[in-house]
Amino acid sequence: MEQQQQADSSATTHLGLHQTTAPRSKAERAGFPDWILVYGWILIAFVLFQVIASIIVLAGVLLRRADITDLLDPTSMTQMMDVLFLGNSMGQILVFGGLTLLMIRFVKRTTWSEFLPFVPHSRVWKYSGLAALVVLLGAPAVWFFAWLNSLIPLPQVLVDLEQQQTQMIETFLKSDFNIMLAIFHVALVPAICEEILYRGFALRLLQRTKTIWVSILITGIIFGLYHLRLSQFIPLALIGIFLGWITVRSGSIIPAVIAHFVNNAFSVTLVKFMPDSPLSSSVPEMPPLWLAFLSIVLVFALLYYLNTLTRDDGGEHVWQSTQ
Amino acid sequence: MNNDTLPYILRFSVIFALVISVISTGLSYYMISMEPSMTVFIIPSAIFLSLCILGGLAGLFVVRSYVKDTEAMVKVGQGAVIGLITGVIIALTSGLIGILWTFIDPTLGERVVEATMNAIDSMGDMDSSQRDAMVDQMMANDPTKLSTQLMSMGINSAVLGIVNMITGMIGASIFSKKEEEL
Repeated sequence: MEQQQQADSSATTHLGLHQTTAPRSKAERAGFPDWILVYGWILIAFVLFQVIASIIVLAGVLLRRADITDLLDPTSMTQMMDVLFLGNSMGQILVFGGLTLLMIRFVKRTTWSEFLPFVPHSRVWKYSGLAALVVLLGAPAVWFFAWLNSLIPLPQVLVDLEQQQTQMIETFLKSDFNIMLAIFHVALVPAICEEILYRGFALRLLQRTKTIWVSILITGIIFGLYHLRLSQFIPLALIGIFLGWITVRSGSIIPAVIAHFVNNAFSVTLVKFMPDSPLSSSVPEMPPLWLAFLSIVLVFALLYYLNTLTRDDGGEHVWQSTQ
Repeated sequence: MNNDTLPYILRFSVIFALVISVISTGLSYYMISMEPSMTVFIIPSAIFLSLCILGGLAGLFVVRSYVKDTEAMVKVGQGAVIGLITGVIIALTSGLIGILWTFIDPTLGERVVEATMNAIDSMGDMDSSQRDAMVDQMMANDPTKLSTQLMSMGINSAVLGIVNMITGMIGASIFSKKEEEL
């Protein structure tokens, strides 16, 4: 009997399922199933983010004594991109960062450092560097997938909305702006806050009831959808899946934060210093196939190396055994 | 959540969806019949507000009704699940009713757009670029298109899902029997 219990316990530990032995979180004691916490919170966070960002933008427009109807005019809004960026960053910091940390407090079964591993271990910087390299070398591959994605027909409403948003951001980035400020708003804040939400919170909770690969796929897909840019869904989801994978394999959230930061900062830098590059364009053209192929080969080679490196390191075991 | 709650969820979802559909369709006809003025712009907000307030009460009603009939204990988290499912079903049902209504009155959407256009034209102090921006914005959300209707069904599902999740939780903490009472 005792042997059977030990065998069961060992099996559940191996699968990363700890419902029987792990202590229950406050959320579990209140009867919340994990799925409603993941999907419900992502939904609420998204709506709250929009509300907070809108309030800040509205306040900014009023403080500048501009006309409220300017909010409907993309040309006028291009003159107030700093206000838009401020609203976006404040929304991300307050909701995706701050409130998600409160949610983590509600759902965690273990200590903070075990649930949200921000503390670097000995190899984390090496993994972070390699993850950043994957993102940089994968840029032409991402370009290729963005082009493939653009071939999928979308409703005109969404196409117009996306083009309007992208043109506004492009006009701002191509203007005489402070690059450090843009990197802060476009790269640093989203890298930290979105990683807390998707890899720190959602991936963690999903893996309690689903296999690790299903959890990585779901968070990657949600990450792709959340940006509300369906024409970029495939490349964004692929990046999200990679960020989930590197988090699990390294047992830390830091490589995902750094890779996310490098990806966004690279885009800002490219638009600033190479505004005519096809990679800076909002309307994707078909990339040279040799370049896309080379990029895919290099990314796979790096992923293979990262896989070998992390396999025996035990990071995945640490990630799965602490929830 | 167990299957016992499903009949309660379905019953209240259909009732609330019908009430919301009647109110929003009625307000659309009222909007068409109005003289072109700024008031026309208040109607869509009124429709959205009634959707939120009225539709948001459903989660509370489902939990109350279930607890009253079965005297079961509903935890706050279970109330959230009941509310979320109720909200999504209400949004999908009322959206479906809206699509079906276009077969009964196919020109309703066009007349709503026309009424809004006339209201925009009546605003004399607005310069042409601002007016064009408003018209473009409105045309992008043309209510006569199926894609717009499906998109608003998605948005309403999210809004009503969240609101009912909250009221379901409130309902569970107000109406549910506590463990020690059972």
